Amino acid sequence: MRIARALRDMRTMKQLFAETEAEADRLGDQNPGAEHLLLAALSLPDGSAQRIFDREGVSRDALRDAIARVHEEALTAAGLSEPGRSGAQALERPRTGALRLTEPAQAAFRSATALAKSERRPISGADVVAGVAELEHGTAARTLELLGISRSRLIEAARAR
Amino acid sequence: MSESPDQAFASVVALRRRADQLEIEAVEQALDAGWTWAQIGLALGISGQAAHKRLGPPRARRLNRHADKE
Repeated sequence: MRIARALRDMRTMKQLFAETEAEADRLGDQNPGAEHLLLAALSLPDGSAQRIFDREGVSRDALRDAIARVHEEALTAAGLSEPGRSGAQALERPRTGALRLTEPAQAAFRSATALAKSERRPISGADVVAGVAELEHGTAARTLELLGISRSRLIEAARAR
Repeated sequence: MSESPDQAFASVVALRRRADQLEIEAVEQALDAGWTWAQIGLALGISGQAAHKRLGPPRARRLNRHADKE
């Protein structure tokens, strides 16, 4: 039972991390962060993260667009507006070596695995949503705020699923 | 700065991302113009080896893709 759960967790993590990197590339980010981890959680086949965001009326594409908007607005606030430039260019580099999540993303992932472990079940997308929603500051938190999604509501939904 | 720390940090993050993207674009332009990694490193204030290690893969990927097409 425990071995089956561990194997399933390994498959989930492999998919989660591969998609986290792909999302960082899509957004033109060098370092995979919590916002990319959140986007990746929505792609997991267990569907739990997707269902939470469905209830918020937010699609994965809308979430990605909101992340880009957070950066654009922050640039404008810093006095750098670039008319004619449409967001960041997607990165095309092949990722080599070990995955290097940012520290907040690592913390979110640790929190997700701890939640699943405490309930003796495989890790799910909803656990990752809860882990990211616990981050009080940073791009992921600002994106959720921009979308009008309460972090505490997300955590509650993730834990109650 | 009169804005909140959250806003200020968001701007720092966004500017850092922008600088990273500008760096990648500049390197690609330089390589297309025939610059060596030693020259790119010099311009960026780092060694050519460090520049290649940090910024090399996109070019390698593009060349591979061109080779695939041929």
